[in-house]
Amino acid sequence: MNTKINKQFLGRIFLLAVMNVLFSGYLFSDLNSFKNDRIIHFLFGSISVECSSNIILVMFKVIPIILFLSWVVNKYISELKDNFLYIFLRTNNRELCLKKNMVKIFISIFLYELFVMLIMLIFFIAPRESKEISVINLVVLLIINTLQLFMLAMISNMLVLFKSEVVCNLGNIILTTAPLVIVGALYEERKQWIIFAKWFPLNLGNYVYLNSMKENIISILLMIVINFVLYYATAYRLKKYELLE
Amino acid sequence: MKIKVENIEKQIKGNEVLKNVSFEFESGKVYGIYGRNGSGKTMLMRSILGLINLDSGKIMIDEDEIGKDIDFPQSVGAMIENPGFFPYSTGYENLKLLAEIKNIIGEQEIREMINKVGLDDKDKRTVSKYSLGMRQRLAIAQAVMEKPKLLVLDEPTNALDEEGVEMFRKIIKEEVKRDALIIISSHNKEDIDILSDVKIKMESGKIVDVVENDSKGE
Repeated sequence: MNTKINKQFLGRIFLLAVMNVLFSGYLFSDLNSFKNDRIIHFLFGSISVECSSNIILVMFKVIPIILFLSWVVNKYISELKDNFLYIFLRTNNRELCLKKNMVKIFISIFLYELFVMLIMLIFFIAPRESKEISVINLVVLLIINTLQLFMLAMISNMLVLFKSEVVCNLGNIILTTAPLVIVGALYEERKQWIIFAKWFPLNLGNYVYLNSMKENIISILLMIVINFVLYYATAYRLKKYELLE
Repeated sequence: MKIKVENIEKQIKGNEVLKNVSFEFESGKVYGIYGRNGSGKTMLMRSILGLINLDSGKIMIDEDEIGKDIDFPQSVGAMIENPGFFPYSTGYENLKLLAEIKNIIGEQEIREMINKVGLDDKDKRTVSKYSLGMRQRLAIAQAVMEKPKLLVLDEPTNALDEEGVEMFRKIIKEEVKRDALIIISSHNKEDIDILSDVKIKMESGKIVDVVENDSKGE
């Protein structure tokens, strides 16, 4: 089993990246009045805490992510599931299949985020008079976005692997939408608690981004730890998995 | 190769699907397992493949215990009902993807195997466009292509037409000649009679009858 991404999936990843930037561009139509770093934050980062209380804006932000999880990530794991017998019996251990699949998912997510970043830079930053941007912020956003989406993908994978695709799609909708809605509700109803939003692992970064390098690093480390925990939980479950159907 | 099944038991949702099953299989023979639906044929095969965790008993593949020393038999080809595959790839691409895991056969062998099971190695259709019979042929090809020491085939002729069944029987005879250990389950009594050296009857999770098939191939 290799980690190569075929043309069809590469096409899907690119289309969803275009969709992501278009949706974000639509959300923030008055971009001319913002500085470059804010535009990067809006288009490549996430929606602000203030916007999280608007369900329409939240939906615009999460739809490309839900589609990415359903059309790309979950398809990889579904293929693995459909071919359990053929793949597993050709390896010395079950975990190897999972590892390779995870690498493939990680590469796909990284490519998706990279496409989003490049499209955003080419179409929204390059045409501007001032092209000054913080490369460090851009790299931090790329890492945070990738890790965050990978975290969602790991949970989604567990659901596809051990439950059904329907349960998984429902799970994806809840996992991507609920944290944003909760942050929005906190902002509206309990402003003094909004500080907790930054430690919300799945809040799509709407509080963490560009606050301070220290917070960014803590956030990255936290997500790395969570991703490892999720990986080992999946590997353990897979070890016990029985092919009964 | 020798497989020793020792007093294995398995319950699923309160139902005993395998009850104290013991048996020994050895290379160069075809074992035909038959019995009604739910008799435990498929579960026995899955146990040998390491696909289910047993409640008690053990399965030894030569010196290695399944689930303890090894996760699966080390040289095995298998097909168990409803063949899956990667739907967005062609038959050739599917087999190539699988062959790349072990990397012991090349393009030429894969193409020959596809043609041998009556499919076209140059067919550009993806597997999602294949009929059930074509998938079944592809599943036979993937099971046999790496010349494994053990072949476990559950209902291999289910969706095959007459010509397909003939092709399958020919392949099994060739596999026996190279000393593979073959375990087949089938509803089709004719397959069992023609191919098996040993016929094993299962009922309610137990082996109830074992017969050396003297009339094999007749």
